[in-house]
Amino acid sequence: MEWFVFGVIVGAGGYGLAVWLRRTVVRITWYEWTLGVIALVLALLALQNLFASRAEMEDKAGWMGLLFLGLPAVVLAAIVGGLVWRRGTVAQAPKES
Amino acid sequence: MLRSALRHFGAATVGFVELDGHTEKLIYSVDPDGKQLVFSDVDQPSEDKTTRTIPMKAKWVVVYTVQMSEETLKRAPTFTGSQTTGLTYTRAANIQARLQEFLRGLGYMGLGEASTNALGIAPALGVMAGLGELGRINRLVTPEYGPMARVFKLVTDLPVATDGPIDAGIADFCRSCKRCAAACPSGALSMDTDPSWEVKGGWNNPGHEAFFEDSRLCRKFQREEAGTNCGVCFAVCPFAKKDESFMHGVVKATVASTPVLDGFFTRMDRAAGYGLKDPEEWWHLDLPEYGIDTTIGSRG
Repeated sequence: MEWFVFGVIVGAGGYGLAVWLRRTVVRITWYEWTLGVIALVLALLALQNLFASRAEMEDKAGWMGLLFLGLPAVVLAAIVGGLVWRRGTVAQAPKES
Repeated sequence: MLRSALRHFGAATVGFVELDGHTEKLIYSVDPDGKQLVFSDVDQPSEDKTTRTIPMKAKWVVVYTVQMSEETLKRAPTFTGSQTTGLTYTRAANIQARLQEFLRGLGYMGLGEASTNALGIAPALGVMAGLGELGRINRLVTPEYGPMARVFKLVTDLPVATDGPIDAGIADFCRSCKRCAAACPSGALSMDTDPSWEVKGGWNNPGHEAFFEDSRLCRKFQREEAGTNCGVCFAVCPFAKKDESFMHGVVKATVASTPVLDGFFTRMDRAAGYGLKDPEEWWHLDLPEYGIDTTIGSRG
């Protein structure tokens, strides 16, 4: 069940990203893609570990996994988001004459 | 075929050992009930008041594990915790009877354990059958269930393909871990970093390298303080896990190939809160049948 939920979230997120990329002028570089994919994988592993640990009746292990895997995922996602947002701001800014 | 049959009867993992000049030493010369165990060049097995005779042609040992409930034994040292051990022996008696009938139907003999922990040295035969490694607790620690399985054996004349010892990094891990020895309420387990050839007393089987335990201290605690079987060492073992989280597979694979991270994994295991649990809480759990997950270790 958990993988179904993950699949729906990732699918919806991927669709949203594809729609946004088609509309925006911002281009995402290869290293931003790489960091983004790593962040996504880490986030999914953190969630899998959280749900699985709760099923194992080992809540503390689940929360620890969320901290050690989820936090780097959030940091990486923030870095990628920041890079893309900065470039987007620059791309949309009026050119000086 | 035997593996499939045994798993259907309720066994967890199955391995096979051929009895030769070396492995024959793992069969007891005297059973727990005092009867001699003798190999003889006869066609059929026999038993009288003093002796059980095993035909020489019965030279294969079927070794199998039966799962204990990890969630239950983590309530050690209590009656609640120890009943999963007793239940395992009860189930094993049933499995043995079915295996004997199965072999008889095929036209072969199945000479099982006449009483609890009879016939041979279970952990040693488990190691030789490739079911696990000898851990610091001086018992079999399996890759699938950790120490949460009991080992049983049966001698047969059905020729089988044999297995060999495995290296899953478990014995190496035990050198640095020591969680079981530190948690042992009686101090019976060795805190040495390396295993030794020197036995602690007559209760240990000599002739192999191991972390030998002081069984007197262990038994004294069980009889005089716990009032039941203990099992704390089993409960705190980092290999005693369910297998829902992907993390366990990653850790086991890493332990098998990268011993340098063993200490880190032990600290993480402790920090993550794995180990003993509240005995009262057990009564409010909704555990599966026998408290075990029978999908662990299946070949899919």
